Amino acid sequence: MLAAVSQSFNPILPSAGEIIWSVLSFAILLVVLAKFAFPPVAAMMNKRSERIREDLEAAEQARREALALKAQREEELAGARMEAQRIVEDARLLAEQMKGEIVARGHQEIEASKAQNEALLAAERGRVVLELRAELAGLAIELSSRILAHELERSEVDPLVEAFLAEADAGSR
Amino acid sequence: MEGSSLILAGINFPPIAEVLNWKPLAFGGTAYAFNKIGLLALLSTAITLGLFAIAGRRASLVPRGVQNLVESSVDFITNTVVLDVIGQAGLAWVPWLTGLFFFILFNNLFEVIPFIQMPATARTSVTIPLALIVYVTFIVVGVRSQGARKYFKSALVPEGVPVALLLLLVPIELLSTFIVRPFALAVRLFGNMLAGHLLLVTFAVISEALFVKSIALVVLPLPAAMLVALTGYEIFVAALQAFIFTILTAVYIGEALGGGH
Repeated sequence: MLAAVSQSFNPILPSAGEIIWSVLSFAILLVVLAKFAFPPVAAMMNKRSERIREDLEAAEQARREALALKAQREEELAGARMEAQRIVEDARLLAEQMKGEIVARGHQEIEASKAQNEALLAAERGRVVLELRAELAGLAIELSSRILAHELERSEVDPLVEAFLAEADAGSR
Repeated sequence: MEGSSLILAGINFPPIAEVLNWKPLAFGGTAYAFNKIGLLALLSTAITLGLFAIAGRRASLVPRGVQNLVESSVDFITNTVVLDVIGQAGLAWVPWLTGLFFFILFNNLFEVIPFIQMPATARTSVTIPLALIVYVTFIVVGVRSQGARKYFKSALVPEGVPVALLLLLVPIELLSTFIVRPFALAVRLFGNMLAGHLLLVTFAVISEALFVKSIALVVLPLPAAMLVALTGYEIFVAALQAFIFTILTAVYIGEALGGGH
């Protein structure tokens, strides 16, 4: 039986049934693959490629923005440093100016105070002179009275003393 | 002496029909009889479509598992086969060539799958139609993309060759491009897979005979180890032959598109 089968069977020759089913299988595979099964896979692969490309571009854009921002910050920092220097310089000049003004005002106040003190001193001296004059008159009278041992009346002596003091006063000026 | 004859008696090589000629499972006695080969061809179609369906349905931006496998294969076909051989013009052929690759690959791999152990491509019933489909495809592509006259001229008449030599070269080109190509495609795949299948059968039969005749169990590990090694080698051959068939198809289509010579 087996020998009969092997004699009638040629392993190289194709058989009709196998050809039909293999061609049918391959045709189904190509049609279904091309129409339905392949597109979603290809779409996902394209989507991924697109996503990677976008991410790379976004990263490059972010890098460029960061560099621009850094340059801007450095520029601002340099500006701020110059501004700070200018403010310090201005403050120094203002302080110099204020110092000059305060010293000048101090001098003026000292001068004014000195003049006031001198005026007060002069007034006080006048008052003291007047008091001294009255005191001296009393003392002179007392002294004269004691010297003359009441020989003269006060009313007679006063004009003489006044005259004397007037002369003395005129002489002191 | 007696032992060796015992072993030889134990080796019962099946007739070639028993390992290649499958009984009809359905439609027996008709021209479209459906047997194991037809079932395997349908199975390889189903597996390929199933893998793509899973990869497409569970598609995520970061591929894993089946999606990774399918996308890697598509990527391989796109870069190694299409872009390297045909160029940008061949990108439309990626689904076609991917289908061809998977169809042949699974039909080859059935050779080493337990309980199947039969490559459908070890039958010319599978390889000749595939080669003819490729043959018709590249001729149609050539005629459509270049025009019949220009295509056949570019295919048959090499440029810059003295007229006298054309007498020799045109028949050679005709033979190599339009006669040998489909024949070589079909026979290469069929021959490799049939040889592999018979090798595996041979070593399986020897191992079995040694196992049954327990007197020679000492030498059993040798053919058994060879069987294991050959199984691994056949997996490699299955992938290699699928790749060769696919890349040659791409070469022919590329030439037909006008990129040849």
